[in-house]
Amino acid sequence: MALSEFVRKNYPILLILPALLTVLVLVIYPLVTSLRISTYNWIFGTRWETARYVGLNNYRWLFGGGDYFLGTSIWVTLVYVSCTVLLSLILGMGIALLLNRITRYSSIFMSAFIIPLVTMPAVAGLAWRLYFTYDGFVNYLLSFIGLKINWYSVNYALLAMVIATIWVSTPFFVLVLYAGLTSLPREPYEAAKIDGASRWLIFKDITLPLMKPVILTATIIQTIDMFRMFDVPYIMFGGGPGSSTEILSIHISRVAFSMRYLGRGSCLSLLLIAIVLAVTVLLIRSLVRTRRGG
Amino acid sequence: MRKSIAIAISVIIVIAIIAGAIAYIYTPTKPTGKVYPEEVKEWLNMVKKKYGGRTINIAAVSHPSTSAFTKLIPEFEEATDIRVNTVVYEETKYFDKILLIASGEVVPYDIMFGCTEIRGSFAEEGIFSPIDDLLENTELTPSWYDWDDFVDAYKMGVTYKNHIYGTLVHGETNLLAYRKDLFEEYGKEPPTTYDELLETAKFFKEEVPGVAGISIRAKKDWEAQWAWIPFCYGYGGEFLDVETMTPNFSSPESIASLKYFVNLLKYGPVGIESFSFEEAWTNFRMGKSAMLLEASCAAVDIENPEKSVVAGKVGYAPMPSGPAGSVAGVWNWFLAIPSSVTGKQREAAWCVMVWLTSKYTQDDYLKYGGIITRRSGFEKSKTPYDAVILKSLDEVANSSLSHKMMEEWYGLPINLAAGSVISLYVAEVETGALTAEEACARMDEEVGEMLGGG
Repeated sequence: MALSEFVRKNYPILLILPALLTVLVLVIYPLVTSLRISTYNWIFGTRWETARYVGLNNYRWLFGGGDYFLGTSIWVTLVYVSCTVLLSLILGMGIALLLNRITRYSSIFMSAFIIPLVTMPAVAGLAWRLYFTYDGFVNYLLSFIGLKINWYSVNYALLAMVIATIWVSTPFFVLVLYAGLTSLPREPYEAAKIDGASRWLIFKDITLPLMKPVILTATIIQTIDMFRMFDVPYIMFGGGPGSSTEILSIHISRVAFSMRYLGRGSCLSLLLIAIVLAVTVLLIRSLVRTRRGG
Repeated sequence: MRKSIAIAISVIIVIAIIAGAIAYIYTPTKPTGKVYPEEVKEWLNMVKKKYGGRTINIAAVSHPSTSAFTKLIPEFEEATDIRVNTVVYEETKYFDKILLIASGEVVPYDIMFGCTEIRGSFAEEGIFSPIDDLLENTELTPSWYDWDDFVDAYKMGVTYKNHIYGTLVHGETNLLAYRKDLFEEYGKEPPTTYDELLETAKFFKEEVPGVAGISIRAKKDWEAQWAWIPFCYGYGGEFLDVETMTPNFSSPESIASLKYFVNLLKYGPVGIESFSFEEAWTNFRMGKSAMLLEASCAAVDIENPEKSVVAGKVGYAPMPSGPAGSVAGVWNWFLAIPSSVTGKQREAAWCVMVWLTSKYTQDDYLKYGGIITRRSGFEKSKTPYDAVILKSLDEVANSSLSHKMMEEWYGLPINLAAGSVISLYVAEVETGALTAEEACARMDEEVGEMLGGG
């Protein structure tokens, strides 16, 4: 068969081949390798040849109560992710709405809000760790209302971490939601104004429903990102005090690299993937329903 | 027209970047014009003749000792025609990086930083090779290197199963720093026992406004374990029963020591449960604690008026003694040679290590901010703390409990990985999530599993 004939016949497959190869190399291969490693007892820092096959022992360890911190870690992760995503979304939407009302120099304000997005997460973590010291900047501001909190304690460390992460993640929502707002049709708003609708009603019955696909898409992306977040939490508290900030990403790093159990670390990573997939599937279903309903 | 200008500017920028990179890589070292004593000159000429033209790559951690020894490199390069490149890694993640490199086929470094905690592991896994033969080679190791001048206690940190694995660039031990002015004001003496330490910390925390009793690291990860271990052995407890090779965290003494440690933290600054060594040192330097029980290298910044408001007001004392006796640890950073480096390259790497850590270059090394590791350095020092540190180190060298801790536990290949487990449970006791008994039982179980091969 002539080349041009081959290309013509297999055009669709050839078009998706680069993407398919990328997924294969960057996703399928590492996933399969992780699955394989999870059935071995492999000590980090030693050669692969020294790894010992243990079958499902690592999974028995994981689900059989061998990992004392697993339950706490999953719970802390879910609280951390849901709080950061929800609060970043609300804050991001608020800022995007404000920016949408500014007619002049909005790009300058936008640039200011993007700064946390371009700051290295490790630097942000370090800065916020300093801000949250007992005599730090946050307590200085709180002192004006007569408060002083031990942010390094087991009661407040997670909250401190959530606040720092919100500072890092809100700009993403600002960017995406602002882009969504500027692309909304004007006609429903004009009609609502003519009918005398209040700002709140316009927001609730026009803006929110029209923005739902954008909000859901941004939420899905940011949720996945928050599950993977490592730098800020690790730099701030390293999973402590106690296990109050021991999110799954830190716990995986600790088991795999500090304790040097690569097999168990792989099991934990696969568990994290499963949790992320489960949450993402729920959100995507919601998105698909929205699109069909819209 | 605009497009052409944009292209021209882009091309100029790219050329400038490439030229800058080439200039950086190939810039000849500036001649120092230094005049060496005859024996030093002779050795340098020998090194140049045998190994000139080679390149030695060093993997180092971000540390004052690295900043100090890199300043010694240009004159060595000039004298020997050996090019020395140093790659610096962030300290807390250095070992992950090195373990990752070590699990591969090729280690791209000729010299690597090691430390006391990993010497056993890296020796057993064949990552580092012993340097006994190089030390005994009188041609490569000149008399002005003087291995015997290194403090005996520090030598423990580079020795494993009677073999030496590196040359010392840094050393530290436990040191008590206390506010002389506050102690004088309230009629207190520096504590010499654990009970006195607790009582003094309690006094300052409860009676003196604005001052915590004691600052000490307690953060989860290896920090909490580092801080607890001398108390454990000082109480007569142990992390490891060396006869049965099983962990022994659940002995009454070990449990008592953990309870003591957590109780001591109550008299620390607010937030101490999340303190790394940086926060502990900063807290004391800012005048917020009456005492600091930390690594001896903290003293350098304590006495620096640019970094400390308590400079000149601090007294120093050895680690207090426990019911079982006096225990302090010694921890070192050292330069080691990977096993994959052999032959002439290994000898050339050793020559670099000799230069960077010799008695001859010690004065310059210390001038550039290095930490004292040699007896002669301590004896020459005029600081208020070095005499106390040397005295502490000599006590450690003669302390059977300190030897027990350093050799039985820190010599254990899994000590770093096990330390991670220990810190997790110490952190749980700090927050009240587990009792000391529960935490110790879990440590026994998990460290036992590690000892059994995991």
